[in-house]
Amino acid sequence: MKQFGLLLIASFFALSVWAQQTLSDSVKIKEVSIESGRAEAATVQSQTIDSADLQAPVYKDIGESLQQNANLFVKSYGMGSTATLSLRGTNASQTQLYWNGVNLNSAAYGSTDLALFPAFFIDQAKVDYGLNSLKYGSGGIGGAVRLNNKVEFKKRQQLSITQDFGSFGQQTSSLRVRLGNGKWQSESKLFYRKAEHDFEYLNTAKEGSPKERVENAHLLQKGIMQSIHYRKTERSWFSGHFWYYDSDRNLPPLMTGTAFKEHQEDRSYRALLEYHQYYEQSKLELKSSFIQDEIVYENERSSTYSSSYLQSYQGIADYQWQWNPKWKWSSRLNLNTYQFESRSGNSSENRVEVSSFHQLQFKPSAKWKLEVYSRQLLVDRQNFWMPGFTAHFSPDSAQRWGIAASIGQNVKYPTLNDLYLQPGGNQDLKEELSQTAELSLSKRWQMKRTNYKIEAAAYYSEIKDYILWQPSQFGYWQARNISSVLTQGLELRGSTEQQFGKYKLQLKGNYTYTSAVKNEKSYANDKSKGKQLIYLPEHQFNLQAALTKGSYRLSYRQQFVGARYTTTDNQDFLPYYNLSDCTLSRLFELKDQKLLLSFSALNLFDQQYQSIQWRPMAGRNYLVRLKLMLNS
Amino acid sequence: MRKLALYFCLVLMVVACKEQDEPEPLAVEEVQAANVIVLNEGNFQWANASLSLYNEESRKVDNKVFQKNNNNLPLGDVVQSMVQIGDLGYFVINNSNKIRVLNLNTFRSEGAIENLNSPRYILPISAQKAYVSDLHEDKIYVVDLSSQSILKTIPTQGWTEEMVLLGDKAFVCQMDSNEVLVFDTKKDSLLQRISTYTSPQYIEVDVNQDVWVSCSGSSNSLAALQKIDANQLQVVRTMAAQNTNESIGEIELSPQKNKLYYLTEKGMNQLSVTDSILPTQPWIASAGRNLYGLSVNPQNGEIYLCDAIDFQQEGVVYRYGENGSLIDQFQVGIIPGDVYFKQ
Repeated sequence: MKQFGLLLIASFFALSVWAQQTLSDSVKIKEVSIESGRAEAATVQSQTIDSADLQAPVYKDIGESLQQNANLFVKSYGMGSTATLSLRGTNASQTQLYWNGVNLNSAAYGSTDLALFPAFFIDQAKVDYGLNSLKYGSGGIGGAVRLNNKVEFKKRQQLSITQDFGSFGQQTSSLRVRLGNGKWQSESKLFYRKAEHDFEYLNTAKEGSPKERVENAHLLQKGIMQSIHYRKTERSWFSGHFWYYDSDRNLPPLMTGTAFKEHQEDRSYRALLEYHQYYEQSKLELKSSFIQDEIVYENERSSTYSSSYLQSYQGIADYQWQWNPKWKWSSRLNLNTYQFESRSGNSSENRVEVSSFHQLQFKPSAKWKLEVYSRQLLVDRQNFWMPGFTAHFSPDSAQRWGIAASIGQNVKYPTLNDLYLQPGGNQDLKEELSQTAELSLSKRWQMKRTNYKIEAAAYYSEIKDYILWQPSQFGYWQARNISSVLTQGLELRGSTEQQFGKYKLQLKGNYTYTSAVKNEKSYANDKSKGKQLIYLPEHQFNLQAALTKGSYRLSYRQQFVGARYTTTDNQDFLPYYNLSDCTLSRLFELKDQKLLLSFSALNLFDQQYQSIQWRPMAGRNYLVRLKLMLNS
Repeated sequence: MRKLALYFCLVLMVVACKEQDEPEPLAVEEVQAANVIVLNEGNFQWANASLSLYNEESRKVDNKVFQKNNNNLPLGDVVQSMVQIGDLGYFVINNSNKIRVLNLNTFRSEGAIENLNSPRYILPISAQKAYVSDLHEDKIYVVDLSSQSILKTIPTQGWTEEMVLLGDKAFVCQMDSNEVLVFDTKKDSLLQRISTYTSPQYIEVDVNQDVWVSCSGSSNSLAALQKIDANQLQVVRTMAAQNTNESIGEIELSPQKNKLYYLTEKGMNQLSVTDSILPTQPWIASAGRNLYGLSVNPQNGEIYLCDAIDFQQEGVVYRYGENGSLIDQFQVGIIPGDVYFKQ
């Protein structure tokens, strides 16, 4: 209770500072002065991926685009099937996903399924590696991914229609309408996708490796997002978003099994209200959201029918105050409530989380920036403290070089299922605690007419009381704190852009080395100590090349995923895979109308591979995209 | 810079490109000489079940025997149990919905009984006929062994587990309803339902032709060993655990069928079939092991204990003499759940 009082006082302090600021006379300021200082350009702990990279035709969902563009791993069960995110060797519930600041991870299950997030709905993704995720919430031990919608107040009437036709009955239609002026903006998005995903593959689980077709993989997804923005004054605006997404998927069997009806429906309603206000030296954001996630699962073979509802209300107050060029204060208060109801299991659970983040930034000179910060979380009458410190150094005044070092800790509190699921939940579970040190380096330069950019980061982290579900003596699985896990790794990103006469060549690549090993023996015969966690590649390498000439563009993408162990003693593994995609597109322009036509070949060399053991993946396949854009 | 990048790529290719080796098949003499078969269940929905062979005399172990002798094919998803009839082994592959039939001299496939739902155990009734219990169906399958097909089904009320045959009666554990079902194997019809403690799972017949059943209990009901009189068809003795933290797992009998062995999370216990209370201390303690399977060699009384460790790595099998002294231990596949002895 004492900590709760302290938290309230701290938050009150932040709000009272805001109140004082609102009284001050408003003078126009540039948003960038608050959004990002010059020195922040030197940090590589946060990566921005814009819509052009997110929405390339070869990516079916946000998971596929993140896997290619960022230093992370997406564990996918196959086309349209569940895909979960892993940053820096952590599991899906230790990696947080946000939409315009609102947490999307399920309070019941911990993770999110990226296959339910088409990139179409998102304008920008930000990947916060490691401690950088603390600002938005706790629990992102490996980091966080923020999916954002952007607003621009300008006069426009835009319509764009996209139609994709792909192999295996894939059809995706989307429509976007943007209307507005300097005061109002409306953006409407409609999305519809269906697919059979009934591709042929060599079933190596059967005698003679016969060619078989995937069964029971039909998918139907539809969604709508409506955003309205109102600019109240030059420096303040309101935003309202409503997002509904409905997914209906059949779940295909293992290569060793026979098809039977297994089916999952996911429905999400998300509503968000935002208020943004800029002052002379400060900035305020207030957000309030409601989310309802509904999951229905049916299994004909086991006669299982389960349905669950999760409702959450989240409130966010964010205040940033730069009272002189050297000092900046940021505070963020989160109030989250969750209600989980299993209608089939006749059980329900509630949770209230209050959390605050405070950061003090000091720039003693143009070369240095120091940040000290702390997050506090109050949940289930317990209090957790997550402090951190970051130093940025840019040796040259042009900021071509940047070095940053951070140290801090993060906490992942158990999910509602970890604690209360019947059977298997364990109310004696402790929180997962991570202590992290990270170092990053960036360099940009120009040689002749070529631009280069290189970013590198190394980290070391210990996760104590790692939570794992394991079979219990009663035959069901039970959540337990097993031991400590050490993660360390290296992230490299590089890009270059060159112009040869009429041709422009862009190259982008990234490499990720991830080591996540168990640090203790849990049983007498345990051989997993010092071994890599399962389904986590040690090496990943991605390359993208694009050649543009006038209205033509040819792009190529390479994705290498190293071997993933399937046993904790690292005796068995799935071999590496190396995928290539190629897209040729042409843009036709006529006054205010544009038509983009593209043709893609995916898995160009027809690799037969498995991402998860005995779950088939698609061989070579094709996709045609037609995109019509009308402006007036 | 370019050279550096090239070196980097080369190193990456070398360290990251792990390939799987093609396994060498096992010689027939080797397979025939081994008398112990370990069933490694593997993880549910991972299809990583496997079989290990062990030669008690030479102490030689061979893992992934099915894969090795069947062109690297996977055995399937969760191998739950097996029986031997002549030279054939009937391996129940729970989540692959079938029973694989293998020649035990070669471990080559001799067909399969397919289109089952979620089979658990197979009980031979005659040279022609067997019963198959099931996790998800409200029925027991009656299968024809020579044509490897389903003859008919007998209705039940949910999840059925281990079964034993005594004369013309089959005793079947029915987990969901906490009952042992008794069937007339001539008419394939239900004779009697006997109520038990929570979750009856394993069942055995002792020297006195009494039926023993182990009930694993739950987090709010006691585990118990119960004895059923096979003539009266009712429970005549109950030995319950002291508290709900104690569970009772697999049970086995000594070759003379006068001693009972059973698993708890603390280790393995033994008692005489004449005892009326459960021992409080384990006979062989777990000692940091995750004891998941128990078997007794009916020829020499040796006891085999399976350690599944964390359920996600290769397990270990311990071989003890009838007096409880350790003879050998060997590494097997993922989640060793049961051990069988070739006849």
